[in-house]
Amino acid sequence: MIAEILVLIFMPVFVSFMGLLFMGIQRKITARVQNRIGPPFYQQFIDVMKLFSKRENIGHNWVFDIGPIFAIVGMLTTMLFIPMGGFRLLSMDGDLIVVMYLLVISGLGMALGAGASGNPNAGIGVMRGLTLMMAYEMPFVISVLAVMVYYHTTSLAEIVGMQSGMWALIILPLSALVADMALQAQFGKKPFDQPIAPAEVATGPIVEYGGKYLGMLMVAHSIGMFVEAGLFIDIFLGGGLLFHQPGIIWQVFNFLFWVLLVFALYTLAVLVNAIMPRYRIDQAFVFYWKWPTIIAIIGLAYALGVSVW
Amino acid sequence: MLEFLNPMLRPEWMISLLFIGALLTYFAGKVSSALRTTFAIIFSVFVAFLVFLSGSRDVLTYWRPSASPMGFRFVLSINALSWFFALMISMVSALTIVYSAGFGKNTEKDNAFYGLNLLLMGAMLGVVFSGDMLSFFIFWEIMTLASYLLTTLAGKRAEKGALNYMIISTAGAYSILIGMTMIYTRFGTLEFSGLASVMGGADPMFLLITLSMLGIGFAVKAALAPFYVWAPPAYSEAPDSFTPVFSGALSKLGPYGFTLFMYGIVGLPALAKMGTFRGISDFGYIIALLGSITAVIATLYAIAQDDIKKLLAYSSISQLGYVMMGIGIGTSIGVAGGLYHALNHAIFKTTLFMGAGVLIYTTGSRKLSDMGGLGTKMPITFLTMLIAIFALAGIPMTGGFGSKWLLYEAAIDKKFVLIAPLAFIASVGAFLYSFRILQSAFLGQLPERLKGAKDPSPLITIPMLFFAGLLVLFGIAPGIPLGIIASVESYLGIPALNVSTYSVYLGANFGAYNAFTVMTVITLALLVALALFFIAKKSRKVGQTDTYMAGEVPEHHVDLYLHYSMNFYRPLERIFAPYLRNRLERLYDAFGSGYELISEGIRRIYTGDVQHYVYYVMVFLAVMILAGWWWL
Amino acid sequence: MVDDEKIVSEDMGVQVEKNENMEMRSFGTVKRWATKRSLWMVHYCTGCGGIELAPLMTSRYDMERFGMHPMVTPRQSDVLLITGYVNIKTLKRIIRTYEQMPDPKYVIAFGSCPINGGPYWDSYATINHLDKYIPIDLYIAGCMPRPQSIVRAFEDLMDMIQDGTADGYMRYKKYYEPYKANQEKIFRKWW
Repeated sequence: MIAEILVLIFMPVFVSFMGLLFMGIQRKITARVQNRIGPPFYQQFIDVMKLFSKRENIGHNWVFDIGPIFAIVGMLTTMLFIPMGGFRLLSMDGDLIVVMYLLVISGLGMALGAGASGNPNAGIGVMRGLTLMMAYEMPFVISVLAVMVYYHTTSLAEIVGMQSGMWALIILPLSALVADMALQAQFGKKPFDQPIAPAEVATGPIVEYGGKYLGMLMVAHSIGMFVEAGLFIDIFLGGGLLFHQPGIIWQVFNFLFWVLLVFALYTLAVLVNAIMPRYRIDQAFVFYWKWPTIIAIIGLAYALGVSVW
Repeated sequence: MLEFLNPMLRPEWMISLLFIGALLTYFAGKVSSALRTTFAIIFSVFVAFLVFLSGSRDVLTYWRPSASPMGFRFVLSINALSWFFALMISMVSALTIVYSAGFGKNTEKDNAFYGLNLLLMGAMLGVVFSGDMLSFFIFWEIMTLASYLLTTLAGKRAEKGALNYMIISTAGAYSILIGMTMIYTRFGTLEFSGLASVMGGADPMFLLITLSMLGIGFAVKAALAPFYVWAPPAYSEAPDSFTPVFSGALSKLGPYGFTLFMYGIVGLPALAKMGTFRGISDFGYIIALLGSITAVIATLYAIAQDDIKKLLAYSSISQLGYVMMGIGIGTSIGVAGGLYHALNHAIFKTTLFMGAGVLIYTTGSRKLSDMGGLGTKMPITFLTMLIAIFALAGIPMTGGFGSKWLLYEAAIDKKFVLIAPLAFIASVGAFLYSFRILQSAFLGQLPERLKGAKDPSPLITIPMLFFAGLLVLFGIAPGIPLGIIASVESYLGIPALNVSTYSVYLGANFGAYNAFTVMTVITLALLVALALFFIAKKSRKVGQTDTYMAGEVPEHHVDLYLHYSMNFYRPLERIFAPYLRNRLERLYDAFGSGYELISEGIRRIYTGDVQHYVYYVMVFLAVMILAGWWWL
Repeated sequence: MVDDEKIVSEDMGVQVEKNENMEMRSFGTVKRWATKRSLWMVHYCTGCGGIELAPLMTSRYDMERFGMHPMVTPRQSDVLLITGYVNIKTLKRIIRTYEQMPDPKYVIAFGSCPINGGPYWDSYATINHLDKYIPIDLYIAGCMPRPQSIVRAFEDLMDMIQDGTADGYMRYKKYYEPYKANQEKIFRKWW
């Protein structure tokens, strides 16, 4: 019991730390891809420190303050319901659908705060964000549904457990492919970063957020990176479980492997991001509802066929 | 303490109280408007309280008219199913009457407004309490008429919508009547309790036809595709203080009819005889599929609306699609999800329509793009509507999530790969259109002319706060409503859902949802975030126009339109526009004009010339005689 | 036209003694280090100077090495970089942008135009001394300055932040009235 509570307290701290670290490393990687030197790997920590130590924070009204607070609340809550490498955390109290809806709290709260700023750019950014969400949810939901139908469970812990023999990535490659395409938009990386397109809508929803607000959003984003990648890993990569023996050593190894997988997934998204231009929002929508959806439907049909007959 | 009320906890008492109240209210209005409003509130709230007290005890009342030639008797009964729906209906109706008392004037004819509201409430209670088909149908028709009249009270602009509603409802009522007549001629009884024992043995074809006939009538009320065309104009043009009842309570009678006839009377085993698809009946599967398709189509329409009431109307259709989906699936999880969603929808959509009424009252416009920035001016309206929207979108802090979760689980459990993605996408669309309300009305820039806006009187806010409180309560303890629903399920002969107060477990290897854990974690995370927020330096608040607009200063461009709410989802609309050009409405219009054409042709027979009529008679006689020779 | 006689003294920053500045001292060393290593800048590309920023940001000179990043909104920025001549119309936007930036904030004037008007010194529409209207922490002389000198300027700015001499935003607060008077004099009608 005490060990579990300690894990629950340790995880958010660890994840936000690792998230910031990973984002710093990714900035370095992006820089190397673009033939630059790039910032030091701990740059993200400096940024957050600076943002929290700003001598002045500018807000608009109390609804505006909700944005970053809800962003962190949503991400922290979601994180605790996702199995992380051998740690099940609270995943027995909420299944995949609960997680998918908890994941929305962050974005919706953020949208609320952004809208309250009264900046038209924020409104446009939120519109793009929601449109993009509708776009990528279509293929994502179908591909996740394929997994749920194949294993006939909605419990994340169960899905992880059932992949101990073989990853869903190998059994349902099409669904995994589509889910990774959707992951690109979930991370908010190019070519699907329309909501925060700096040159078009001046970073969209976060246009009015500076200082501690932006610092909180960066922390929320770093947790969100783990949440989104972790969800993908739990669904398609067997929860990152490498060793199935009991024992604390193996559990730590499993957890480290899970972290490594998060890093790998994020790197993949960042590498695509580094060399891509940006879609228009309606192009992004049509893209997601066309090819990924078709592939996802084929994947779903396959999963259904295998599981029913 | 309240034992003295026990003799009154009978259906006939409640219904007649409301009918008497309707008359009293109407005539009291001739004396004074304050008296009328007081009467309306007292009668409706008192009856709602009676319904609440009566619990799910089984009460049966028989009343045989002395001159009944065919041996009919009218049966009124309270059972688990009818109590569940009666609670929903009376709660919504009574609190909406309280709410409408908060406005000085609701329509041009307020006496009729309050009187009809009570009449409608009585009729709706009558429908759910009735224990035989005849009283069911009579109350059903009173309900349709009362709601039609209430809709027309809005004035000239509501006429077309109300007429649409009446025509389609009448068609639906005829369909119900045909179905009931078929059942009566086959079995010779009208009482549900008698039918329940014999209908199970009927042949599948007969069941299919009767259920389809009844189903068309119920589908009209439930605004299921393809019968939803009446709903957007009727919902949006009805008086603002009547729409909460229209969408929140009245529309629930469609799902009630389906539940009653599919599970209460025909029963699961007989349904299964019609053919099954992965363990559920084909009939139910088609209903569920129609429900999910309705949900998606209506959602896509809702995203494109600028009129707040139209948006909410399409949203109602979409959410009712979910309800029908759950009821159609017909498993323990599915029916529980459907009924729970019906309850949630009654609560949150009532709140939303109430909020819309307040917004329209405050801004004088139904266009979302005419509002803006009201969130800080009207915090209570904002918060209640925010909670309702969270429930609509299914955020796991409110009751709305529990029902959606159950519905998904039901679809995934049965591996319905057509229904589940449709439901998911409709739900994602719900985020889009519900955020449009928030963004356009409550967030963004406050226009100069709305500077004086403030929260309405307590009579208006208290019902909204009550509903919002219920949603939060259900978000923490879904076991409260689901416990009632479990008893409904066991009454219907469906395996009851396994619930405790705080959590729902669906089986060993299936999902779980512990609302209490979720809420605890959210609260703790909120504390962490707040700590982070308040440790850092306090922020300086700036005015609403002090935003980054490439260095522009908006105060000096008063005519500048700064609030981004016009055509909010333009890129999305542009994609969907070719597919959503009111095709169904056009089909109905074509049907209507074709019907007119045929009628016109038939009318030409009646020339008004007596000689022609004599010819007709002679030709008819000749045909008859020839036919008689031929066959006899 | 600008009345040159009644302008605020250009070296008024001297009046703020470093040691007297309690606020600056409470601003701890770590915070100052974080601030200087994470300078996000909003660049106001008025004139021809904007073109010099492209090599600065991309692989040739890569300013992200120093943790610097271009930002699009003043709310998120620490440095305002004005790259070229400032005419009366753009000055309004510059002041608005500057006032929207949260403290601490720094201004770098880039090229000779913001310093003394440059080739446009006698134009009816441009201003000659930008520091009459907003406080400038650092000038980069030249027409145009090369990216190397911009990098050098940022290094200097970092040093100034570290030892607390980059206090333009406090000067702006302290002498808000004279700055405002100057601004209103040139705009006559505000906006």
